[in-house]
Amino acid sequence: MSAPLLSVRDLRVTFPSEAGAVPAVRGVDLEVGHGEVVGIVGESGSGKSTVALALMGLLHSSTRVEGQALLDGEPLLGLDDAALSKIRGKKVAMVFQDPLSAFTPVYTIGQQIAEAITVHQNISKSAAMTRATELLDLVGIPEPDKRVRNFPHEFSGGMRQRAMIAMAIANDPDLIIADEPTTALDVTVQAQILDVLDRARRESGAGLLLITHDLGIVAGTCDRVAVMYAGRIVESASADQLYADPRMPYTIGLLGAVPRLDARLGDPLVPIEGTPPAMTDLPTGCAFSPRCPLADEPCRDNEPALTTINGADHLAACVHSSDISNGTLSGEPVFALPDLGLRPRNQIHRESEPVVLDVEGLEREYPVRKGAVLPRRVGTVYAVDGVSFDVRHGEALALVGESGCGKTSTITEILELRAPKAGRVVILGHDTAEVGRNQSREIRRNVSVVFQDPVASLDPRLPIGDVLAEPLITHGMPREQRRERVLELMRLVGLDADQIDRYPSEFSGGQRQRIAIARALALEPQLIVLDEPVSALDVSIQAGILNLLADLRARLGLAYIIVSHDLAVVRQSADRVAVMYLGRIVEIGDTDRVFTEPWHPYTKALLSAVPVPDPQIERTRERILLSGDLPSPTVQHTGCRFASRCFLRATLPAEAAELCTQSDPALTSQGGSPSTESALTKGPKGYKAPHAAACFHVFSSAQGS
Amino acid sequence: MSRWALIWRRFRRNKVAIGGLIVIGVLFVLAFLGPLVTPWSYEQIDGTSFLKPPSPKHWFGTSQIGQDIFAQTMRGLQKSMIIGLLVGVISTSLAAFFGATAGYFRGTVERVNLFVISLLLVVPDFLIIAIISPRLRDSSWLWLVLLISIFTWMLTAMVIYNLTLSLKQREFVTAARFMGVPARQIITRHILPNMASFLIIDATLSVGAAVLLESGLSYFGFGVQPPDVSLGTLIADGTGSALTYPWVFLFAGAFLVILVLAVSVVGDGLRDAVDPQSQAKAEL
Repeated sequence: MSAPLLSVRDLRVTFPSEAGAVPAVRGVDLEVGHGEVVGIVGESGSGKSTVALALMGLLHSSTRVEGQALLDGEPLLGLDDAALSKIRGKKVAMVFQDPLSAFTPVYTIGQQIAEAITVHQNISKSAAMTRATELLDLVGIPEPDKRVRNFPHEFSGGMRQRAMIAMAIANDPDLIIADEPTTALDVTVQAQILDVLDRARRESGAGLLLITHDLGIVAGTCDRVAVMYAGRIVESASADQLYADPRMPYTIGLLGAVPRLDARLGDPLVPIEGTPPAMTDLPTGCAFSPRCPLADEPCRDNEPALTTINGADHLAACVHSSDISNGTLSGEPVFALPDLGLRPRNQIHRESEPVVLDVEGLEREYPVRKGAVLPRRVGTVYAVDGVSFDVRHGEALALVGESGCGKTSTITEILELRAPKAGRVVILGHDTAEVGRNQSREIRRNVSVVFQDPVASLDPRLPIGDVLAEPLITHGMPREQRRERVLELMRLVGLDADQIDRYPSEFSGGQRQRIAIARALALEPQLIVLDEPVSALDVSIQAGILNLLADLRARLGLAYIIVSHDLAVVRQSADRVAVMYLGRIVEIGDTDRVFTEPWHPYTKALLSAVPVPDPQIERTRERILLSGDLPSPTVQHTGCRFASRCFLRATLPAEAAELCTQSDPALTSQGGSPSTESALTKGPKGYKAPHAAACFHVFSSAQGS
Repeated sequence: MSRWALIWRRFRRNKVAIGGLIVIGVLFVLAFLGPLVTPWSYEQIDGTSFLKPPSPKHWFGTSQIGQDIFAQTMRGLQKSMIIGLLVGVISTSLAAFFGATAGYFRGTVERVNLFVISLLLVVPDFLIIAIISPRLRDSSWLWLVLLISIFTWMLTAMVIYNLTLSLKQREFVTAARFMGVPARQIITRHILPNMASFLIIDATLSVGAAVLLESGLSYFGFGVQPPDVSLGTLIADGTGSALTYPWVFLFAGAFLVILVLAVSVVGDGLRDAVDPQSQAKAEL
């Protein structure tokens, strides 16, 4: 390889803080070649974004940045603002995580892109505007000549990120740095953006430095990958090598901790014990050693350097790296797999289990109001529009869908325990339209909730002993028994009993989610509603929580409703899955069936959009890219809600396509694909069948193909 | 260990706050025992000494008409401490009650509470107190406490109302609701403790404000009536001669400053004790 485009040597970044200097980046070496895609993966706090900010000179002046970074042989660090301004946007462009805050709200998208051009190129304003329009077209924004005059708030999240990419490539940069470019986006939009990013890179011939926490994204897009932990690169290799033969235990753990679409229910994830170290208080020796199952004396004495392993290109910072192969050390797996005792449930058994929750035709709307002085109703958001499902004893049902599909509205409507606007909710045999005060207490006792954000769902002013005692007090457990039960709960979720007096803020994210789960378990409920239980957590922590949930379910016979946008999480934790789109369930069925043989076009698109953490699979599999964004939920649809984005419909003859817009498909398993035809599929209600979808054409086309 | 035990333990670690608590205790003891050890009573007039500086006979000196300043200050301290502390607690509690219920329950409760708040805000409180207090002249001066409290809680209540509106949206409140926790408990266990810092600061500030408001009222002849005294009336009487005969005003002023400082130090300590983010952490 000739001289690399970007070459970073021993980059060190130190932040000042009350608790002492924080060495956020501790000696990073990095190279990006022309046209090469390099990924930096790491969990939050690993210093991956700080590397990007340091390269762009965007860190606060009180931060100490040391080391060397050469861009095309020119030094990049230590330049003053004026010199950097000539480079930023021209030679190096950046794409940020949050596209909303990256645009100025008071200028149009076109003006902002044109400004980026005129700053660096000597061309007229109108020529710049024309170029802006071309760029928007390039990144796939429909009607670019109109959209160029829109303001940022008129763009959806995905379109803003596209515009951000258009702005990044406006001056043909040599290097694009993308910091978590898709983290704020839905999975189908993420697939679009990754596609655009790749196209933009090829178009401009730039190198790409992709910073992300998602091992799946890296697998599909990057040539080389560097894994960061506690401010250092701990392993770096080509994508193929890294995924096939990781040598650093942290990488092995991370790969084992990612839920995968191609796994099965009950396959345990590999949790990495403990939490990343505080950067102000790093252990001597390898920073990963406190969590590493292989750690021994040499690991704790000295921090191992990043050294080559049997090939110039594979580097790992581990004493044991040369002994590790295929995730095993002399035949033993580095991380022992826990056995969760969770087996896929049998459909025949399902029918005989009692129904815990039965929801039929549930609807929920929100008024859209305008005007501050005299608010008036200007429209309606049809958040939940006829949703039906049931949950049996000991069963886990997942509601999946992108943001705005109504999954969270569905569960809050159920949990309110009031008569819904339309439809019926029967919890444990009680119809919510008819429950009185006593019954509602009885239901509350048996149904509990775990929310997405463990920071927000625990009262910061209550010590956790009191947090856990709250449901016990509410439902009248005598004082003497309470303390005993609280300690028992803490043991159950793996917390130390002597932490009982601490406040939630003294716990890490994963521990807080354990507290929230313990609170949900306090009254031995029959049903637990889990609203995105792991999406706020890092991968290595997430695995521990998912395993805990699976283990509790197997041991205590709980039923779960899991709301999630992450299909891989659902795949490994739910028996049944309901795919939601715009307030409707479009497909429901046993997880195995839905994931291996999806019927509904939306499910197919959703599944194909999820990146798999395996470069081999990622490169060969076929992707379905959906066009456009989620339509507005304020419009009432007469036909299929998915019709406007449906790729299947586009291939249909005109009259068949007409049917989609004219009538509303019901959830049915009629016809079915030949392999699943059985007596069970002809149940009285579509949603109770082992597999049902709401599409007119999928069955005929499935049989045809 | 429950929340209150934990808060007490954290509070105890704060030496300054404990000092403040001790000072308040000492002030109480002084205010009630002081009059017993001095031969003079607060009404008594010593015809032989007018405007005399402090001496072994009159420890804090005497006033224009020969009253013993020590006896008067102690008597005033009794009154003012009780008025200040009670008003601080009562007006903040009123504000917490009306503000939090309005914000939590919405609907009718909200409308009624907000109406009461607005009504009391527009009614000129000084005027009302002036009209009512002559009628209370013969009854206990504790009525004055109630009267001052009633007219000092509304702005605090509006702030609490708004804080409640935003706290109600927080997930831990939703979590408690879905757990079946009754509304009363959600307000007392979750909503109010989460604005405790504000409540405590407000209460400490209104202690000082109440003492001054009372002195203002007394100055116009509505509050504590002569021959009875309060710190406020003593200060008001003494200000005119502050430079020439400072002892008339100095001791009352000093006690007022000490009282308000001690209360605010205790308030700060309490705020740190209830706030888990604060520095009142256990030492290793």
